[in-house]
Amino acid sequence: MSAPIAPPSNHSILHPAHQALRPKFGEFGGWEMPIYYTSIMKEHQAVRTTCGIFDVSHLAQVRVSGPEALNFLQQLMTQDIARLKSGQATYTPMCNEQGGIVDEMIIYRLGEQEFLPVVNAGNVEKDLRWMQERGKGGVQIQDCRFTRGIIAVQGPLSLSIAEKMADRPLRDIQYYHCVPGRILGRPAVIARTGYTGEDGFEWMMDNTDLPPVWDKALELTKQVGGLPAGLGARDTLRLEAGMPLYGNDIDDNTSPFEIGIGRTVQFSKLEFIGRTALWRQSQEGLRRRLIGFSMEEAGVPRHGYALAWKDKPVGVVTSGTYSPTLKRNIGLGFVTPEAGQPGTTLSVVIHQRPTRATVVKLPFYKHHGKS
Amino acid sequence: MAKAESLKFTKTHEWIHVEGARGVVGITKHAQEEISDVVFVELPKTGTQIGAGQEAAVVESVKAAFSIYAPVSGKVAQVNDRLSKDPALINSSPLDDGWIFALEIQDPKEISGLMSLDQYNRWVTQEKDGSGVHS
Repeated sequence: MSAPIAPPSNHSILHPAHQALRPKFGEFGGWEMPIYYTSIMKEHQAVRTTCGIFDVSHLAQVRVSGPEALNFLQQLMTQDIARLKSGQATYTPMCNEQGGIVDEMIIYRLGEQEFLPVVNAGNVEKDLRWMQERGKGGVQIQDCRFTRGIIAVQGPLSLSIAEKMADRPLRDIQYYHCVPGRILGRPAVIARTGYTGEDGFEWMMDNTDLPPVWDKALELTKQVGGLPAGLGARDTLRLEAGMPLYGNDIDDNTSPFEIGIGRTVQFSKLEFIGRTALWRQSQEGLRRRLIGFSMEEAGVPRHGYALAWKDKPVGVVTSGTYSPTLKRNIGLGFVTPEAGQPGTTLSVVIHQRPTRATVVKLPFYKHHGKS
Repeated sequence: MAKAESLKFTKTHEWIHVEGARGVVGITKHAQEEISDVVFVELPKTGTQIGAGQEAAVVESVKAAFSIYAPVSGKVAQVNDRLSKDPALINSSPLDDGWIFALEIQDPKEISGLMSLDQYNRWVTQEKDGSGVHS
């Protein structure tokens, strides 16, 4: 519990608004952010049933623009960014030469020569260095961390709330698409994306515009029985949706194939960083795979716990929680491929005690909607 | 169960209610607030001998696992089985229905080393002040 020696945390422009709600704060990726306002369970439930609003300003918006921006991103990302039309977004890893994931992100295409990667808070320094070292003429890389923020409204009622605040109907915006627009009269990139496994919107805006938008969105959210939600619920929501988290489930040595996102590696592109190593992996097969498992006996799996199969060590838990929706304990972990088939019985070592779990197909939870 | 004033407290946020040679143990209101949504409690086995300050139970919240230490040495005489079905009793009733286990107290003298409610409240304030940005 003792405080580590670390530089002071960054604060969102909405920090005073959060403080007024007296949340439990915690440090994440160099930012001090609300972990929960009321309770993780209640906030999780709100997102699944009504609406939750999140301040995710810790995420870093990096604007990449210029005549060479597309070629630059094509070289750095494993996805085929050229396929994106203006107003489309894609999820993509950015790999090193060994095929390990430097970071993974959503890239929004805002225009012919303008892109907006939104990267993990804990990786932003590394990402910027990685990008700048590889940037040539014709590409501007702009770090918008301290000038722009993001509010996410997530849940089945998020559309109606977002439409009340936007200058245009939003129902026709498809999942993983975005439009330039106005929220409460202020310019925003309005995107139908999220990290909760639920329908929802993310508004990327100038910091100066965020406080009134937060206040209004909070008011509308509360009117429909929703709640402000913190990073605690964001974590349980993404885990139920089977989405890996960098720092927990992913690091620089993790390959996209190992975490089940091989679809984001586009070998049809003839050149990108990591292509040779990733191609080799795709031919040789994997040494480990990220799988989902559900506990059969009492106990909560946590990051770092050992996984065994037939009394042999086969891997490690990377994320685990009590699932508020499924009302059982779930986790993600790396195991050797032979131990990773759905239905396989594994054992998780919880407080020195082997505890039974079953490998299940991901995601744990999928919502019934159009996105 | 008795009022908070009659309980004794540890720096690790357990309380103990002493009734003769028996002590009932739980966690404080402050601790349950910090832990938040309790989803699982690993109870000790009755008959286990536990030393003062040793881990006796584990309380799991959505986010993390927290060790619960024995305030004094003793043998586990009883555990609160209701927590297996309803672990959130620790949140809703930390000083009463959310008790965790009862000890046969080995050495009553150890109790005098524990804090009163006033002392505990001061300790909580002190801990908060000391934790800087993580308060």
